[in-house]
Amino acid sequence: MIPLLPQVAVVVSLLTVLGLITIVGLDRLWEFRNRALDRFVAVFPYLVLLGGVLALNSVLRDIGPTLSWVVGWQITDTIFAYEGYFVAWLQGYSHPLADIYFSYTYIYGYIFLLVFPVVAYFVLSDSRPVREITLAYTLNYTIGVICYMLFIAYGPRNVMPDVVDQILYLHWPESHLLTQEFNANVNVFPSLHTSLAVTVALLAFRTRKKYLLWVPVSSILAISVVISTMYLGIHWGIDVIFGILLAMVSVGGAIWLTSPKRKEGYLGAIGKRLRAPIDRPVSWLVDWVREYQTKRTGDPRMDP
Amino acid sequence: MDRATADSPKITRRQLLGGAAAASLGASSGCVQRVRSIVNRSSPETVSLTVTAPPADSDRRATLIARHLVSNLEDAGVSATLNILPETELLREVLLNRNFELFVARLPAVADPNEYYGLLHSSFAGESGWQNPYGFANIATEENIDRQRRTAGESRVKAVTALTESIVKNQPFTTIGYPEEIRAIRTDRFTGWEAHGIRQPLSYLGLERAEAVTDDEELPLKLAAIDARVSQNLNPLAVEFRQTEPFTDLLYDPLLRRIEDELVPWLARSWEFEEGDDNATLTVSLRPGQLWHDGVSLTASDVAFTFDFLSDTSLGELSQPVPAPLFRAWSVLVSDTQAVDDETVRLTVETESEEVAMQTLVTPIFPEHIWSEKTGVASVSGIQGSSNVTEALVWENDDPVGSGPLEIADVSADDEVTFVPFEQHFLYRGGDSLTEIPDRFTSGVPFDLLELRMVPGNESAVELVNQDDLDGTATSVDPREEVLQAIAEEPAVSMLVEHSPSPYHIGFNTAAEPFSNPYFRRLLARLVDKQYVVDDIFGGHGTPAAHPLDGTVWGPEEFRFDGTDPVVPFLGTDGEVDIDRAQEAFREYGFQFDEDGTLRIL
Repeated sequence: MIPLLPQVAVVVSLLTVLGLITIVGLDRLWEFRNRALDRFVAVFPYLVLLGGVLALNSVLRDIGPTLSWVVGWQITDTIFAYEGYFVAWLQGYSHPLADIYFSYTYIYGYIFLLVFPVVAYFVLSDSRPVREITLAYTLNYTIGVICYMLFIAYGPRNVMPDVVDQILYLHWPESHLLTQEFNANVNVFPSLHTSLAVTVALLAFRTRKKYLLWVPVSSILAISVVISTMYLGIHWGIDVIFGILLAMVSVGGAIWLTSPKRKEGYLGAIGKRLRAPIDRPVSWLVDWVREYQTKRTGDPRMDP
Repeated sequence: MDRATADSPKITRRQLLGGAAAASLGASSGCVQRVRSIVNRSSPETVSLTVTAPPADSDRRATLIARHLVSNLEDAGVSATLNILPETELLREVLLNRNFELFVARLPAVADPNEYYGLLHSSFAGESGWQNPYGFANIATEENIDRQRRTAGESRVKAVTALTESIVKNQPFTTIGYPEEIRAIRTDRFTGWEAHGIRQPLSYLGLERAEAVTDDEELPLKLAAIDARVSQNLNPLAVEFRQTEPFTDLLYDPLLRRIEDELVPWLARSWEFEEGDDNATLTVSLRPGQLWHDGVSLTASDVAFTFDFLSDTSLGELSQPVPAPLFRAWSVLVSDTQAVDDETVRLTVETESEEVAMQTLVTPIFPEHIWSEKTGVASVSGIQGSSNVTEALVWENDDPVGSGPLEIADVSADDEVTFVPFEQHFLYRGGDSLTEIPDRFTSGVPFDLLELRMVPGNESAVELVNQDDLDGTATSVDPREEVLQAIAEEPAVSMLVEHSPSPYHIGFNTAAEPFSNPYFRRLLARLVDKQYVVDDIFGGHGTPAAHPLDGTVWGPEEFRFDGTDPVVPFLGTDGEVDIDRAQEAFREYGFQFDEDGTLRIL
């Protein structure tokens, strides 16, 4: 059992429910119930893709560090030479309250930031935002894990412990047991915390017409996550800059891929062929559920 | 080392050569001569030194020492960069590839002066491992190493004093200080932690069940390991995976065990030392009926095999011998082996000193039926490696067969290692042949299994002990205030502090410029404030040292660290370099600084 995982699940679930009530709204959720099955069918292949990349990620994370010592470049001193003591300067402003705020943001805030928009976009009548966000996450993780293979770098807390402390683990040791399950300490370039947080904020801006409140909430959370990665001594400023670049590339890529124009092109054809084997069992399953509902209620619910 | 050509000369060589070509057409030969003597002279260059150290996650003290050194070097005008490598990579670069300039690490304990034979003798300069990784060659040092090896008593003390003098004066490495090892332990299930310390993993066998726990209750001993290398590799010869007090000690038994500075008969029941003309013979009798963990009998032939194998792990299969990277100071003494019968082995040792010869018996014994299969050239999925690496040196050995009091039950890399008592071990068979072995080892194992759990950091290790998930930390925690406070806050958890004989040191690659110059090494040593390191970085938990025998019975009075280093005192105060004094000291030995105050070397 991974420590803290139950707490994270509870906190993130509560925050997500709160977000659904305030940001998404109950009327939108009520209206969604009729479209739920269709939406599930449409989006399922994207979730499978993201799930696959995450699974591959966890395998690579186990063998990755060893492999990257064979193929990778060590860039710790290059980063340090360019950046110097920026993170040390930032930690110079540390305060016990900020320690707590950024530690919780780094763990709870970050996971909520990633989970909530997927749920919120899932219930929208337009399926594009949810396809965009799953593809953007997929791109982030794919490019991120390739970078981790190619670049070996230790974060500031490991290089200059005299001026940069590991605030997170020092005051909250359990969090180290959690993060080590997902991260090796040589995987700092680029900051995936930053790239994913910024991805969410960028997409929030794209969906401002639907969820206006999510724009300031996600922006504040994303900025906090970005600062926390450096404040806690885990990442260099340069990791963060490249994390932001990765976010822009991923969001741009996801927008391009989900554009209606792609549907006619050869990419659309490839997409159709790829999702066909997934769609078949899913539609069979959905038909079965519909049949069951019809039998139970005697009221075949027609899609609007 | 990076060398940047000095930017100050006004005319570059190319311009000079071009000019010389044009001028030589009409100029006198005297002018050409002058051009030649300018062109052929190299100008001093600024140097940049690379200090290699492990990251704070694995050895925070070493990282901080390296930071202290780099910042003092920079202050003194010597440009330097810090290269952070994980411990396995660091040891691989230093001990196996000899690809380093300066490194900061723990030095294996120098329990006997003869360990210097392995550490510093130039005959080992071509070998890998802890055999002279510094590439050091010094005639006076070697003469004294040889002298202490042949002598005993008063004359050996004299030889060791002379040897220490040559080491502190030549500084092939700079000894910084002994750290204290600090562990968090719970006493509600096991007691007796303090009685003999638990620095050596063998000590776990000497713990006792707490009164609240009955004898027949199933009871595991669960410990946190902050260093995950034990779960990645269990080969006693894989030098980059072995820490100073390795857990493989529990799995592989030696003929004699060093227990609190006493040599205790272990696999051996008795021995006889017989002096010859210029060597001697050690006849060792083994305890009868001993077994390996896989049930095969342990015989004299395994012992003979071990010494042959340690001096050449290829056993003559390869054109060049491939010696083991560890235990060489001792295995090299054994020039011939002969299994007389199943329980008697005769070793020819190249020393007339019984005191020295006995120490060879402390090396672990390997099962012949397993390791004789590992003598070929190491290969990765069919691709053969270089011809100087045998399979024996790189094998993971994740299902080890030893003869030690514990055997492996389960290994899960980066996660957990589980040991269980080896029921057939002679310790548990009773009998009166065990009289020389301390009682605590013969009165039964207090636990049913020993579980080492890999934990990412000090803080989380202490947290798991505090939460009652684990009984203690198997490795030392960082002596930082927050960690020690966390231990003190939990009443059921106590802090066990032990002196470590394995000091931190800075190793120089003395085979490479500019470290081949002993004066340069001494100047670098003078940029480390050992007292500051112990007070500040070790948090007072340690002792500064001038050399690895400082503070032991072998350490001569005149070379004792006494508030300040006897030979390489710090060039500053309270960790801060006195820049003028430092640069003056460098100039005294002919080093130059450019107008920015940066050191240049010809």
